[in-house]
Amino acid sequence: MESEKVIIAIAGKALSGKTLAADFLVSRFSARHIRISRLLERLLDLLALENNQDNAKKLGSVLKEIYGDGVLMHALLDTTEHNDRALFVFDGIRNLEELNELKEHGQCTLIYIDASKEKRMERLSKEENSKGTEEDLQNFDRSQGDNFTESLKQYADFTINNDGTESELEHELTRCIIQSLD
Amino acid sequence: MYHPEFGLDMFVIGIIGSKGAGKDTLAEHLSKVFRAGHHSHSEIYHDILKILKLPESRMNLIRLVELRKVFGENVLINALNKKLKENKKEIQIVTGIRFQNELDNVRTFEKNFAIYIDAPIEKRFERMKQRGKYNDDSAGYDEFVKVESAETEIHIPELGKQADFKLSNDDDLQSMYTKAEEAINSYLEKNGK
Repeated sequence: MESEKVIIAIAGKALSGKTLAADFLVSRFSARHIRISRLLERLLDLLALENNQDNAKKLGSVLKEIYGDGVLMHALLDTTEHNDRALFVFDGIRNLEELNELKEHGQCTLIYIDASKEKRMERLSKEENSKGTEEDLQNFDRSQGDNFTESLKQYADFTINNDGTESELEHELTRCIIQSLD
Repeated sequence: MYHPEFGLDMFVIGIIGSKGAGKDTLAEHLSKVFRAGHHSHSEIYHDILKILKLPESRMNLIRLVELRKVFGENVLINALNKKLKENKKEIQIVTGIRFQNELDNVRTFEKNFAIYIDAPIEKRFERMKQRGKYNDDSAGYDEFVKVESAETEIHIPELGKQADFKLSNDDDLQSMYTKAEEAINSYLEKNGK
């Protein structure tokens, strides 16, 4: 295989299993996991601001407001330039601008991870301070601020339903990676 | 306000000046003479753009003023104080003071001294041209004048009035350096060093 870089973008609603998927790609395919949250953490540290979800969200939005929606992806893509790894996983793509920024950069496969409302409620109920009701889920979704995520489904190269077991998810992911590397 | 715990006994020299007045030239000289740390408020903005891999252009820098609206007007100050703490020098020179709260922050240190450095607009334009920031024509001059009225620049003359010492940088550099060093030394004699 040539040393061309392949980017796997993962999108999906909160609690659909994006991080699980990314972790699997790291352990199974030696992918490099690139997270927007880590970039925001660096910036918050520079600004002497506490690294919490609220500050990260505010910082992300103001930067997108002034430099455009692709700004964080643009910065993260630069990491791929200076890295020998062949496979990169971008977890938590939230809108078309971010996806386009990735696509402009080279071969990019979007995997959309889907999970039913019931499954997501079940997963939420395992988190602290939550009973996993439908209302809890709505509030949780709102707090994540990923309003446009679902619209990315139509651009996905693969959609995986993650209502099943972890090994089913892993099996599906492997199939997607093999196909996209072909 | 974020404050380095041990840092209150640092001596902080604040330098206020418009674009092309020579504040960084002066700061660089003083940092050598007094073995001081040299920081600028705008360096935080440059750091941010470096992390974001964006060009450090004037427009990109000015846009970051939005951070003040989201995280409060002290955001840059807190970041700067964190840097001062990490830098651990006894004397610190801070340039690029553009807002009242930035000067107020300098004043919160037990030992502090504010210098205002000014030069006629023509001289300042001349220097900025030499740095390749503006075209050598009337359009370039108009642009320079316009930039002077940006939110980041308009408070500078007012802040200059509150300085402990005023310098005019329209003659030779050496005499400006000497005047500044004398002023700082005389402050240090009065305030114990």
